[in-house]
Amino acid sequence: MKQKLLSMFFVCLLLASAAFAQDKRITGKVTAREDGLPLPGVSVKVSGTSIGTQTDANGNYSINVTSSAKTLEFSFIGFTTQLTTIGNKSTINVGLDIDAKQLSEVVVTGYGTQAKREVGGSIAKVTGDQFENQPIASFQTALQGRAAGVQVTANNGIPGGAINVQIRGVNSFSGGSQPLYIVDGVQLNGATFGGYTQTNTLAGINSNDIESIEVLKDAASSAIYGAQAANGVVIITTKKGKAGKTNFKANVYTGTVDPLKFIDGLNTQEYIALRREALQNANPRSTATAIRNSILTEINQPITLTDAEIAALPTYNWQEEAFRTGIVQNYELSASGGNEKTTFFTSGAYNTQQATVTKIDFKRATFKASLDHKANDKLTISSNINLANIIQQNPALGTDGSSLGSPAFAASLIPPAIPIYNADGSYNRTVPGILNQNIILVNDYNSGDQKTNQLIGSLSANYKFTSDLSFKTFASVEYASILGQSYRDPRTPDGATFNGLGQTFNNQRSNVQSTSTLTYNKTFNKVHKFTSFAGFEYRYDNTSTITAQGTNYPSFLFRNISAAGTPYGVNQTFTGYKQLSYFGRIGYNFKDKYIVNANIRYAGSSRFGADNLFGLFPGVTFAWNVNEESFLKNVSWVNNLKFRASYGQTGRDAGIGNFASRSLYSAGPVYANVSGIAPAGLANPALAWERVTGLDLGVDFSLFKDRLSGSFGVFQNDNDDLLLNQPLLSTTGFTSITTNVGSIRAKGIEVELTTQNFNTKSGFRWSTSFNFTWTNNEITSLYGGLQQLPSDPSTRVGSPLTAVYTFPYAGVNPATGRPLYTDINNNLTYLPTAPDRRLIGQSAAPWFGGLTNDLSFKGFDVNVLFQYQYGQIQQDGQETFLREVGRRQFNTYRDAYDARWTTPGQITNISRAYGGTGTEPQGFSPIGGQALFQKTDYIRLRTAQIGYTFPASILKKVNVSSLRLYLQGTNLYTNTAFNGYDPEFSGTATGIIPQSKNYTFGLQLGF
Amino acid sequence: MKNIKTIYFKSLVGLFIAATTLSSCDKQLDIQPKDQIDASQALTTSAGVDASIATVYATLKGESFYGNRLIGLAEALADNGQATNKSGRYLNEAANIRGSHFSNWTAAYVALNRINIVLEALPNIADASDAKKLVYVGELKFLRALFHFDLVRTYSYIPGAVVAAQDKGGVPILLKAINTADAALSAVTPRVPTAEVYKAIYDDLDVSVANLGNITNSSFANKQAAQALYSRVALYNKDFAKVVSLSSSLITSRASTLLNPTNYFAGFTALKNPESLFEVTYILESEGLGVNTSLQTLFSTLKTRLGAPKRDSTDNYTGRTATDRKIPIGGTAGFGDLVPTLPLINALGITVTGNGTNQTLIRSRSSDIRNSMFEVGSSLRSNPHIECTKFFGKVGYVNVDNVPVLRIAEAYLNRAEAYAEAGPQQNIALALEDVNTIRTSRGLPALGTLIGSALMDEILLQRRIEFAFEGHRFFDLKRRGQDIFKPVTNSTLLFDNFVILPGIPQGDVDASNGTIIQNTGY
Repeated sequence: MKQKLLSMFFVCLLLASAAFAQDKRITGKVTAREDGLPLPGVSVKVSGTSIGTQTDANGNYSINVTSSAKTLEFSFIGFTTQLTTIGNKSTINVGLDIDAKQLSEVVVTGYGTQAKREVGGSIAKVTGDQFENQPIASFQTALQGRAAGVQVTANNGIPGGAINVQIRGVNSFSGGSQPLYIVDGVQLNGATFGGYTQTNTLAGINSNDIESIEVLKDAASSAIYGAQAANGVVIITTKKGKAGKTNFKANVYTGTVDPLKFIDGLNTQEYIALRREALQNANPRSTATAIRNSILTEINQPITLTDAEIAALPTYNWQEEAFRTGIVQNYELSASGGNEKTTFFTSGAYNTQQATVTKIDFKRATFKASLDHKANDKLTISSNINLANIIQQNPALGTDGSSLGSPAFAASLIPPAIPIYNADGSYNRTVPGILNQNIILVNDYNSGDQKTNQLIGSLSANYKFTSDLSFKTFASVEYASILGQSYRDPRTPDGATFNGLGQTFNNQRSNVQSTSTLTYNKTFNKVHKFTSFAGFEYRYDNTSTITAQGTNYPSFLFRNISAAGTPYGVNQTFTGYKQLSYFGRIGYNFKDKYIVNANIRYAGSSRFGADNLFGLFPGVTFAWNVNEESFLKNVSWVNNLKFRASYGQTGRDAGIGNFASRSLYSAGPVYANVSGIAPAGLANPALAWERVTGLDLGVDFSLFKDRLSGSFGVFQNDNDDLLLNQPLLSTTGFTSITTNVGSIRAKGIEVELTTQNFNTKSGFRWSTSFNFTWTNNEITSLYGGLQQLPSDPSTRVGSPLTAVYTFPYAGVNPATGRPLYTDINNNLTYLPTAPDRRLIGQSAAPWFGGLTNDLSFKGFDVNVLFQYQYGQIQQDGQETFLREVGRRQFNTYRDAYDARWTTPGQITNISRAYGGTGTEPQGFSPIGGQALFQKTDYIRLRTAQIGYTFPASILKKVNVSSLRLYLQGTNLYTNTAFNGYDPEFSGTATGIIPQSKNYTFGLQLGF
Repeated sequence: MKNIKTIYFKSLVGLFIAATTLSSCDKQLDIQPKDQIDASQALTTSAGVDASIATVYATLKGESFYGNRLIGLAEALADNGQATNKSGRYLNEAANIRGSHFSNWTAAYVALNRINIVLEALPNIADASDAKKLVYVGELKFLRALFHFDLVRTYSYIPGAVVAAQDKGGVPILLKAINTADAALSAVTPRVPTAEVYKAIYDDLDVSVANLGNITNSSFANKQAAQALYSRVALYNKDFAKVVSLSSSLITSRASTLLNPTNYFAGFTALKNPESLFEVTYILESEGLGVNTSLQTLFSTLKTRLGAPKRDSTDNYTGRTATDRKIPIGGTAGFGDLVPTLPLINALGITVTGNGTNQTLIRSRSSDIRNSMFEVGSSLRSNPHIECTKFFGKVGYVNVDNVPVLRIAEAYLNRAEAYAEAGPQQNIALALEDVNTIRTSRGLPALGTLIGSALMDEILLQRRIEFAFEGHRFFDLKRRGQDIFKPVTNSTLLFDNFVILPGIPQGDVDASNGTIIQNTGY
């Protein structure tokens, strides 16, 4: 209804377009002074009036002016505005200068753009050319190491899988930590769908279509997005066309994907020796022969083997079978151009990536079209569409090691004495022990994939009533359909139980948004610049899923569920939420010296309780450009110096169920063919968003003719009314209730520095950028005066949210070889108890950042990015299994094997081998408490690229405008003390598909 | 010109405001769940009551209850079960390591509250007659008694077998519904004396026995199930006269269902055991707990009961090699993490050599038909052991089995024990008669005169054999205050060791303001 009224109104406006009196005709041509090429789309205006026109595709214009007109104003984005006296001239040709400042320093903020010098908040910007042609599936990866305060961690190495982006740390118990993503104004769901593999819905955007990524970090800047912005806002702007000649770009790259590393395990003889030692230690009364026989039986060898025959047993390398070298390929074509009325950008791309573990892969076709049309001087229409089709083959069994059949988990752990193939080349099916299946067989026989079709489309109309007042209305839809299929082959142990298990799901999500804004900007006396806008926004996001499972297949050749003999399960779910907001901003800029902006959003979310549907989120930012002050105007070495401050409040509405505030009954389990129902939780009509109150202070500077530039910032965020599944006494019949309790204070320092080391006349350029972040938080209160959460002793007042609170490991008793822990009185003990737990570290890295070097010389360019994190400890279940030293039938790290305790008096950190439970009587696990954790500090050579751009003079002869060849490497080198496959993961890493290293070779062609 | 602009501006602003406030905000934000219904509508009809009760029954299917741990732990913590380390599960449980214990606490209280919610909603159910409501009450109170009983027998000492220095009393009893956030946040649920818990169970079972109809379907509560549970509760409570009276009326109505050597095997391999008075029931394949958790996978490596050649003296394997005797891959499904100890195997009348080596061989079996539920497992999960096959995909799918909770055989053994105990009900002759009833129906000869401890030993031995791998053994030792002999380590776990009792979830202890006292040693 609203939209209808609005469109009717527009029609009225169009009909009423007024005409003005005119006397004189002026014509001319506008060119760029730098290269002399014509500039289409330049606004030509009679100063002080609204009379104006635009240059055509050839830069020509013609305008009728009244006799009273004195000056013409030529303005164009990226160029300095030029004023020319009309006098008696009837032809005025103009050359415009590039405005370096404006070109490089426009920043996209919420619902608009700002010159960087006007920005009072903390906004990081990464431009598309910084990550162009990186072999990445999801653009979030591009932010790694490039922006202070932004930490990006891949959850695993599945191309198109989940990526964890944290802006200024995780500061919420359950309110989520992922930022709000906005692509060309469309607020995206951003979710990763974990079905049979992981589908990151943001992977549908081709990173090469991105012009820039802006990250709103401070609360005041984010507050314009209200109750969903507390984790920061990531704004993606995709490429648009420019008027002029149509530019074509072709882009091809291909390369390899290799495992980062292999685990160095034991050979068969060492394995046998270790198991014998472990069992003998655990069963001192057993005879050596009995244990020898038992171990031989355990690896399917006859007990009659002689020592010489044992020494001759082969070692089988399961890792080499499970991992492979994958291929990456990318083909892409784009065209952009247009005339003064219409500009376009369109691109199509096909990208394939294989993971290092079969059969996991990623195939994506994307299409993008962006169209801007000026219907007349007042009305501009823009549309944008992004289509993606993604097919991902599944991992054989789950995306993590919760399934022991996952090759990434089991390959390093299967005893080296177990063959992969039988003598006749068929699969060996007898894999003893816990890892009781041939993972290579399972990987080969199981199958399935997830297919995603995704659309992000938007249409907007912008009507300029006057040069000061405009109205924009915007509507968008994000739609994704994921069809998943998984098949457990009856020839595999898991599949055999069911005689084949087929599963399928269809997940449909849609996200509809409509935004309208009214903008009024006015400058008085040329020094008082006022800006303002007010807006309204509505969003409805929902997801439905249908799943079906069937068992009992006639043969493994049948894989579709229609062939299943027995239905196993069906399920249907729906969830969704709605948001409704009013918002606005006013700004005042005095001579570019003092800039104040204040914004507010009144936001409602269906997730919250009836008492708290709406909340108010204000923010104010202040910028002081000190270099504009008279006392600095003549100081030549200061090019730019800005102090900025911001203070605001945002909210966090993620992390709770869409219906968490209500008292509901869910369909429950079935009993004897009666379908059950059960209470889904306790109602909390007072449930509200988390509130973050943030103060952000910073200084941005550029000194010595821009040779040294950067920014330094500090922040403090108070997170209050945190959403928590507050534990209840389970004797109440409920285990928790979602409430707003507790506070966390987060603080941080962010530093970004860029130096132009060389910029010689001969064309040698070298610049270095460094960024560094320290961020930490502390729980300042829980509820009811509690100092620790009853269900979780690691959550306690005064500790970081990610504190690890457990038994401190004290190494090995040199006399006995048994693991020791430190008790509450700092005495050593074999068996620690609850009071002995203490803070041993935190599972989020407080220090992180990156270092980039860019060099170029005569067409050659080199770019190297290092990224690092420091101060984090984490668990990796696979890694701890590898440290069991003979406890169960697992292979072991060679390092741990070499270091294990064997003789009294030996000083070491690895306790003696102990078979069976692994825990000695009246003792505690040797891989419990602190011993479960490892440091995940690392410095990684994230990307390195060397390219050569052919000189334009040569290319002109073959009608090519640009040609660049390059070689690129990703994750080439990692410096870490972490023992597992990869120190980069989020959460626990048990059996995840590790990341990989890539080499690619590419070609970029423009014509 | 200025006028036109002003008009534009005014109309636009007006329109903007109108557009954004056309409908009320709250209505714009309205969205209704589709997977759930509002709580106020859930319990208004008898269909809602049936569905709510189904959820309570379904709790019993879970891992912490009869689906796995209430059965498996009762064998592992005692002297019946030994861990094989085939998947690493039950190693700590079988070694009585602190913390590896029963874990039915949380889910039991959730179920208890659901029972109370339905009980309190019953008066408002319009489409159920008063008679129907009485049956509902009987059914709900049977379930409430069962959950309270399973809590108190696991987390507390059993009356008459208490280590006073470590006794922290009974468990919280839940008799009133908690429906609101306020009620939940302010609830005080202290541990009450054990006697009070048994009193509450008695009260509920009195109502159940009175209200429930005779057994027609052992999947659901019925009069005989209530009597059988009551008989067991009374036996634990050392209330022997009550045991005799309840068991006697049960035997009067159900004696004919006791299986004999001819139909025992068929009965124990049937979908439902004919002896069952209450059996936790699974019907769909998807209800099963799967290859990691089900009782079949816990107790056996085998997928299906195998024909010859088994590794049994009754099979002829002359000339076969060990490899030939390996079970083919299609026959292997589970892990077989918990298998019978040698003393139990011997008590079952099985002679085995090389149990747990690659030479495992059953040399002979006695006439005790109960040993037909035990055979040698698969070699594909490393060295085979003798395994229990009572849970063997009887519902028709691998890893899906109904779990008998109360069988008629228990009535005889409860009564035998009650007759043998000192007190006014004592009757040695009748005790012997009951135990001989069990012996003869299982293929063993009746015994002549037995008196004193020999009689009690025989009753307890028959109980051990009869209910092997059915979740009784640990409780039978615990309620009699007996030390536990651990055959694998040839050691004895003394009854006064604190690990006889599990720890209460620490979160509840911490949050209870001292009203829920942690058990000793945790």
